[in-house]
Amino acid sequence: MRTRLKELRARNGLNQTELAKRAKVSRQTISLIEREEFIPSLLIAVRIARIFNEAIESVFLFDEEEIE
Amino acid sequence: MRLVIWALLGAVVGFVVMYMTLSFQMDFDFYTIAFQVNVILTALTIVLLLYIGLSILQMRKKSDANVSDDEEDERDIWLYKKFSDTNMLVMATIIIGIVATSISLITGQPTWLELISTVTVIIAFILSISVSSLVNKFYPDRNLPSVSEKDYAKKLLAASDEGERHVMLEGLYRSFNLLNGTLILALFLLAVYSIGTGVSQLFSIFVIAIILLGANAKYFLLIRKKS
Repeated sequence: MRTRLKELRARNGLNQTELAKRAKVSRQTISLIEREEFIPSLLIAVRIARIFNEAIESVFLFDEEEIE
Repeated sequence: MRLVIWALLGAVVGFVVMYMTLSFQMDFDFYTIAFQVNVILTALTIVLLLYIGLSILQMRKKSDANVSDDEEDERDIWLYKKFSDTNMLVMATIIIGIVATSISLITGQPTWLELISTVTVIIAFILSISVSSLVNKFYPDRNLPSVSEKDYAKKLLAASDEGERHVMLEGLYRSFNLLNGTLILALFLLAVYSIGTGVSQLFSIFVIAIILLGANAKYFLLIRKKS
């Protein structure tokens, strides 16, 4: 899974700590997702997507092989 | 076929190593260097305690400082790493302190050395509580349990989010496997030492065996329950 988290944070002027507060998770979790070392649960993915006013699938990008 | 060759090779190497170990004279008298080892370990414990104390002050200062939005992440990363390093040092200090105290009490060192060794362990325990309570200071808006609360570790795990649990699981699983392997190796070493020196280490062997059985039973029964 790839993610556009870093790009979206920069676009909205949010640091990791601020995004973590809004998504009700720790900064470490945001950092792990951004480094693509951890796939978040659906609940957190929805929260993050809503913060950026984006659809989940445009924030978290999966290759076709991963989904099939 | 390859497995059989490796097994035979392992058996030959094992036999040679065991034969050499048993032939080796292990009549080294630890009492001759007990004082020096005790002083070095106690001094190391004191140095570590001072460093931990300094780290606590640094973390408190950093946590209280006002930072801009740009610096907020950097500060959190710094605090996170410093907190992890300090926790690791606290555990190392407690262990080294207990070893130093054990040496001084078992080998009958001067009273002042026994006293200093014991006090350093007590201070290390107090500092461990102080370090753990820093989390509440770093994250006041999170509903984290207080160190004095009952079932602190359980509540702290429950208060952690999924990313933190993912990191903890990775770390704990690796250290669990490492402990399993090294403690089994320790059982063999203690047995070889007992045979080689004639000094029975059966008590230690029993204690380690009970710890291994208990820890593995706890882990595998928990896994089994979640079927």
